[in-house]
Formats: sequence, structure tokens, C-alpha cells
Amino acid sequence: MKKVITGMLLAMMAMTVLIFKPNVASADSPDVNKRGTWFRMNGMIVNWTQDGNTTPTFGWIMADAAEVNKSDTIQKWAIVHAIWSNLTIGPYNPHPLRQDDEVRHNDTRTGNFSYTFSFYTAKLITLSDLNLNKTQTKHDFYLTGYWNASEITETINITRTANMIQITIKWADNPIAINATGTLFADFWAAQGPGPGVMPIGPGVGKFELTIDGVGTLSGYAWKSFIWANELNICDFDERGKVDIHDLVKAAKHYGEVPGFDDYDPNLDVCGDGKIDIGDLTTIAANIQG
Amino acid sequence: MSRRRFEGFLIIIWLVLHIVSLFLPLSTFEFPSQTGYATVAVSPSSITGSVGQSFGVNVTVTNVTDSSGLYGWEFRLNWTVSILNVSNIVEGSFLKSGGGSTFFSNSFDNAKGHMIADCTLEGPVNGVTGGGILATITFHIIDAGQSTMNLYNATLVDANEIDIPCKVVGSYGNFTSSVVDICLIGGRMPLES
Repeated sequence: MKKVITGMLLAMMAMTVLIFKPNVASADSPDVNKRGTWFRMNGMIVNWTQDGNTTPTFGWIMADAAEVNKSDTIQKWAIVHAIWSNLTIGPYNPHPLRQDDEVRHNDTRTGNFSYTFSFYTAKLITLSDLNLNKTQTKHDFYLTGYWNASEITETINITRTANMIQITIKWADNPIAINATGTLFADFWAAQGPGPGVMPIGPGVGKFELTIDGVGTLSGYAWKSFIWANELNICDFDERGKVDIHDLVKAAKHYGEVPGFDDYDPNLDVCGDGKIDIGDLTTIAANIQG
Repeated sequence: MSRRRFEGFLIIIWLVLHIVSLFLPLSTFEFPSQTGYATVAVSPSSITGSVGQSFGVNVTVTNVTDSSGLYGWEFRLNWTVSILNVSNIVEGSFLKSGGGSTFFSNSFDNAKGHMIADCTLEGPVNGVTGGGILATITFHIIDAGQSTMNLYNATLVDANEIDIPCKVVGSYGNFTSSVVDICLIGGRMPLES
């Protein structure tokens, strides 16, 4: 009888363990059978060098790229765009591309007013070469291709009424480079950077340099670098491993925003034109897998 | 049965009952009461028709009580490819009911019997609460038989980009062949010679 009771108690314990075993199976697990290397980089532009003169700059660069083996054919793609401004810091534009923050929260001006400023955009149009092999290029990330760049002059009009603030935007696009050759490379520190005062420190942080003919060289910090064996989905902003309604909602909440708005997020501007608009939502929706 | 064996039998019964009782709370956790949940459903829940006809079903949502309201939704639906084809999908009125503008996208594959639809409000607006039609899907009946309109992976997202829990309810259709009425009036059927 003791053996029976002992056996039953052990069985009971085993069942109890099974009951509280977490369910780790997930339909959202990435497809590990896909072969390739996927790369994502975000960067902050801090310098702009033109004709040997370097000026402090504020802006962002975003890059997604991949080398994928499909039926023993290596396919490479990359999406890169940058947005920057050489505005200097002043009383009403301490955050040059997010001035609306000041307008909403700190600006003491009253009545209706507007402000005009310029910024620049660059976008990779055609990829010529992508290389994620450091032994070949001496860089963690290296690509060349053809780029378009524009100077955007934007005027934001603020109309205040008793109940609301109406914001209207005027937008002028002046191309400064069309199909110009350009090179982007980035390097990341495995453990930490060179130290405070030089670059941000920490794993995965590094530096990048983008040179485009007719535009000059943009450089700065690069971070959030991933080199994945699992598929990186374009427009997967929350990095859940798939593009879905959450990504669409994230961009839609910023619909209509442009540089100058405090909430403007260049990562959501997947088309790289400086606006979060219908083109971006359509691109995201097209990447939602049925 | 000796008293000793009887006592052993009782202990075993007690242990079995104890183990079974361990599963009862688990059932409660896995299948919580869903009376407070939003529901995404295909309406009507059952459909009849005949080959050659078209019919529309609504995908509806009810009981959205989330404090920041519904901001975006997504659902997938499949059906039996040999019975039905989708011919059109249009956005319903619910998400627009708060006065905001929306972005709607859909795609369907009649070869696989599968569709997906997404819709989101745009800009810094509040979500909507209550219930209404998310989308209307028009099917064409191509053969007789039965087909479920199986709704799955429905996702509701509120204005804070947080999921709103929901349950989904599909639909069922029974489709018959075209009926051709033959009526003979007067005359006589020729007789076989």
C-alpha cells in the first residue's frame, strides 16, 4: 500500500508540474528555415562635411538591408534614408527637427504665427553593392548605390482658436542630387566605444559615414545594430517578427506629421520622403503577410 | 474485500479526485468568462443560397468598451475554395463613426480561399467604442456544398496601441445547386415507339 500511495503522490506531483509548465509554443516564432543575413541600423547624424568644411548637424539615418539565399541565388536589398538639418540651436528651435514641441509646450508667443526652416533628405534609389562581410570591406556594414537628395523648405502655420490649434504645412522640394553615387558604411563596437566625450559607449553602438556626390559626407553615431539569421521584415517597427496591424497603427497615429512636429519619427517614414503619409501606410499594409 | 484493501481503495479514489480537482482551476484560466469581451463576428451566422448567386456578409464588432477606444483592426477569413469566391471587400462604417478619417487595406486570394483586411484611424484622434460594421465581404457561390466562413487572427488595437481582447465568431453557409423548374402544360409526352 505504501508503494501505491508513494506512486500516486509522485504522479500527482508530476501532473502538478505539467499543469504549471508555461506554454512556450508560439505561432509568431520567426521562420528559422530562411537563409540569409538581415541588418538594421539607426543612426544620428551629427556632422556634415562639404568641401572640407564640417558643420554641426542634427538628423537621423535609417537602414534595413539583407543578403538572402533564395534557391541558391543570393539576393540583396537595402532601404536607406536620411533626414538632417544644419539649423543652429536657438530659443525657439532647441530641437531643430522637432520645433513643434516648443510651440506646444514652451512657446510664449501668442496669436497666429508661422515658422519656416529647411532640412535635407537623402534616399537610396538603386543598390549597387551590399557587403556584410567585414573581412572584405573592413566595415561591419557597407553599401554603395545611387541616391536622390533634396532640400526641403517647410513652413508650418499655427492658427490658434478658442478650442483648437490648427496646423497647416507648406512644403517645397528642391532636388540637390539625382541618381548620385554614394557610399554608406558603419562599424560597431562589440563591447563598448572609445569612451565618454567621443562617442556613446555600449555594445552595438558605433559610427557611420554616408558620402553622396554633390551632397558631401554625413557622419555620426550608429546604434541598434542587428545582424540576424532570422528574417527582418520591412516595416516591422515593433520587431515582433511580423508586420501587422500594430505596425500600421503605430504609423497611422503619426499620420500627417513632418519634421518640425515633436512626435515626428523618421523610422515610420518608410518611403523616406520626409512625410508620414498615405504612401507609408500603403507600404506597411503591403508588407502585412496574409 | 478486506478492510485493509478497502482503505487502500478509498485512498486511491481520494488521490484521483484530488488530481482531477487540480485541473478545474486550469480550465477556469484557459476559458475565462468572456461576457465582457469585445466580439468580432461574421454576420449573419448562417447563410443559404444557390449556385450563381452572390451574397454579402458583414464582419462586425460589438462591445468595445476600452477606455481609449478602437483605433485599428485586422482580421483574416478563409472559406472553401470550391464553393465560394470573394468578389469585393469594402470598409464598414464603424471606425469612421467617431468622425476621424481611416486607412483601409485588404487582399484576397480565391485560389487559397483566404483574405486579410486591415483598417486604422489616422492621426491623433480618439478611438471609437460600442459596436458596428468593420467590413462587408461579397461572396459569389460557384458550387453547391457547405462552407464555413472562418474568421481568425482578429486583432483590435486601441488608441494607445494596446490590444483589446476579443473573441471571434465565424459563419456557416449551405449552398445548393441552381433549381430549374420544368413544367409541362398540356400536350402529351411522345411515347417511345
